[in-house]
Amino acid sequence: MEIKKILIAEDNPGLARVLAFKFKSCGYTPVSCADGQLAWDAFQADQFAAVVSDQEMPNMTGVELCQHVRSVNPDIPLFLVTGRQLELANTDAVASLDLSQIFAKPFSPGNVVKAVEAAIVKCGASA
Amino acid sequence: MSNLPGKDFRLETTASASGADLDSRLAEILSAELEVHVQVVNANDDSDCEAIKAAIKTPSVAHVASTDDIATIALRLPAGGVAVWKADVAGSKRSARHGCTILQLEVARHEVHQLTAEVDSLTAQVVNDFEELSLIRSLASSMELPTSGNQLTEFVLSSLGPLAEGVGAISIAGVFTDNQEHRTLEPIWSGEKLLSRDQLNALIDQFSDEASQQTVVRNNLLTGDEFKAANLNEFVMVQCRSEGRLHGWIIACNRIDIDEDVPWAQLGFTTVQASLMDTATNQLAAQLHNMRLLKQKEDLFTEVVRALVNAVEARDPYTCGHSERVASFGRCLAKLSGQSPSDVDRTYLTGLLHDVGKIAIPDGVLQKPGRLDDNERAIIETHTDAGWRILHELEALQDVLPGVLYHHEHFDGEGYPDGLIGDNIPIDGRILAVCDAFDAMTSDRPYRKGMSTEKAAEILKGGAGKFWDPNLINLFLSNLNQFDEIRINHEPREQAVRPAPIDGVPFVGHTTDSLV
Repeated sequence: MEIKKILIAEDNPGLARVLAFKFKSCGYTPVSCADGQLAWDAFQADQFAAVVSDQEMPNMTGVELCQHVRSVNPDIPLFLVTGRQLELANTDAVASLDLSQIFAKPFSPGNVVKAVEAAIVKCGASA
Repeated sequence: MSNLPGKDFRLETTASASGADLDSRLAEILSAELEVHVQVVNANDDSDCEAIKAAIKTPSVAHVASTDDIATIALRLPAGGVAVWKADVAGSKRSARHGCTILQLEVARHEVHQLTAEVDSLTAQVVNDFEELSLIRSLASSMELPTSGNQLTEFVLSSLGPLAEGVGAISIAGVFTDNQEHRTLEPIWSGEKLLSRDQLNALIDQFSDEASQQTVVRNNLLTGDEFKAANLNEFVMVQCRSEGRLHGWIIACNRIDIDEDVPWAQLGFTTVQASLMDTATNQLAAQLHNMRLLKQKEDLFTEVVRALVNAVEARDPYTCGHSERVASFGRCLAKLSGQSPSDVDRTYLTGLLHDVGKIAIPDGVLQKPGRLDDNERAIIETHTDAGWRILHELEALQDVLPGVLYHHEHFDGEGYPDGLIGDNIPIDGRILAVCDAFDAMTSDRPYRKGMSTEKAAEILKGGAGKFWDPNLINLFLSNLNQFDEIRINHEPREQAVRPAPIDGVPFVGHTTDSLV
C-alpha cells in the first residue's frame, strides 16, 4: 500500500499549520511535530513517504533530524524549509545528507508539495 | 480485583519529552483536584490491572476495579499514559466521574492554549506578509524616474530608506560603480554610516564573487573570522545588475534587535530579508538601466538636431551661426512672454531647426548674392514646407513643426506658406519671425554689412502689427539690450576637425567599450 504520510517538523505552529493544510488538501496525511526530537520519535514509530523539516528548532535541529533519519533510511526524500537556506547551501553536511531540496522562507506551499510529490514518485520508481 | 502493580508503576519517559510532560502535568492537576495521589503508567506496558487494561482499550471514560473496600480507578491520558488512583469503593464512581470531567476540561483548556498560540503565530505571519507586500508595492509605485543624473543619490535613497525598514536593518549601503565599472563611487547610506568607504570596498572585494552567484548572507561575524569590522555583526549583500551591466552592490548591515519573544523568532538576517533585498535591488537595477536609456535617448536626440543644423550650414556657410542665434533670441523672447520652461525649450529647439528646409533649395538661389527675382523668391519660399517634410516623420520633433512651417507668416496675413492672420499663427512662428528678422538685419553678409541694432529696432517697430505680433515687438524692444548682448556674445561653433589616421589606421567614431 502506498504510504501517504508526510512528517513535518516545524516549531512555528502557524507555518506547521500552513504546510499541513497544503499537504492534506493534496491528498497526503501530514504529521506535524513541534521540534526535532518529537519528529525523530514519530519517525521511528511510523512509516513516512517523506520528511519536511525546519532547521532551527528546540531539542534537535533539522540537519540533526535528517542525520538520524538517514542513518536508518538511505532513500526517503528529505527536505529542509528554512530561513538559513543561503548559509546552509554552502555547508558539506547538506550534500552528505542527500537532501532533495532546501526551500527558503518565505516559501510557496504549492511548490513544496510539488517537489515532495516528485521526489516520492522518483523514490518509488527507483526502489 | 487482584494483582495491583502498586510500587512497580513506572513513569513513562521514552515516548516524547513534552508528551510525558503533558501527562504528568495532567496527573498533578487530577491529584490536586481529587485530593488523592495520582500516578501515571505507560500505556504500552503490560498490566494485570483490569481497570488499566480497560482504560487503554476505551479512552475518554474512567474505569473502576475494586477489591474489598478499595477501588482502583484508571483513566487514559492524551499523550499515551494512564492516570491511576485509588478510592473507597463507596465513593469510587463519583471520583471516577469527577476525574473524567476534570481531564476533559484540562484537555480542552490545553487545546485552546495551543490553538491560541497558533492563531497568534499565524497573525504575526500575516502582519509580516502585509508589511512585505506594502513595502514591495511602495517600492514599485515610487518608481518615478529622476529627470537628471545628478538626482541618482536621492533616487537611490528613496528606495533604500523603506527597504531598510522592511528588512529591519540598522543601515543599508548602496555602492555603485563608475561608468566603466572600474572603481566604486562614494557609498550612499540609508542611515548611519557603519563602515568606512575602504571597509566597504574590502567587503565587496571579498564577497563580490559569491554575490555574482547568489545573495550573500552572513550572521554573527564577531565569532567568525571571515570578515573583521568592529561595527559589523551581520549583513546581506546583493549584486545590482541589469542587462549585462554591473551597477554596484546593495549591502544591508546589522539587523535591528527584534523584540518578539516567540520561541521560533530567528536572529540576524534570513532568507526572508535576503529575498526582499533581492526584489528591491532588481527593481533598482531596472530603474538605473532605464535612467541610462533615457539619457542615451536624450543625447541621441540632441545629436540628431545638431547633425541637422550642421547639414543646413554645410549648404549655406554664410548663415553660419544664424540658427543658433535665432534659437537663443527665441528662447529669450519666449521666457519674457511668460511661457513655461518646457515651452521655452521647444522654442529654442524650433529656432535651431527653423531653416532646415533650406537643404532643399538649389545652390543658385540659396547662395545668390544680391536681390532675388520673383521666380527665385518663389523657390526660396518653399523652404518652410521643405522643413516640414524633412522633420514630420520624427515623432520626437512633432512640437517644432508649427514654428518651422510658420516662421514666415505675417501678422496681417500677407506671409507664407498659408497666409495665416494674427493669433492664428502659432506662437513659435510669431516669436521666430521677430528673431529671424532681427538677426538677418543685424548680421553681416558677404555682399553687405549688418545694420545697427538701433536701425533694426526702428524697422521692427515700424512693422509691428503688419509683419510681426505687436505685443512681441513691444517685449522685444523694451528688452533690446538683452538681445543685443546675446548677439554680441554669440560665438559660432567651430567646425569639427576630423582626426587623421594613425599609422594608416582610421581613427573615427567611438571605440566599442565606451558605447556601454
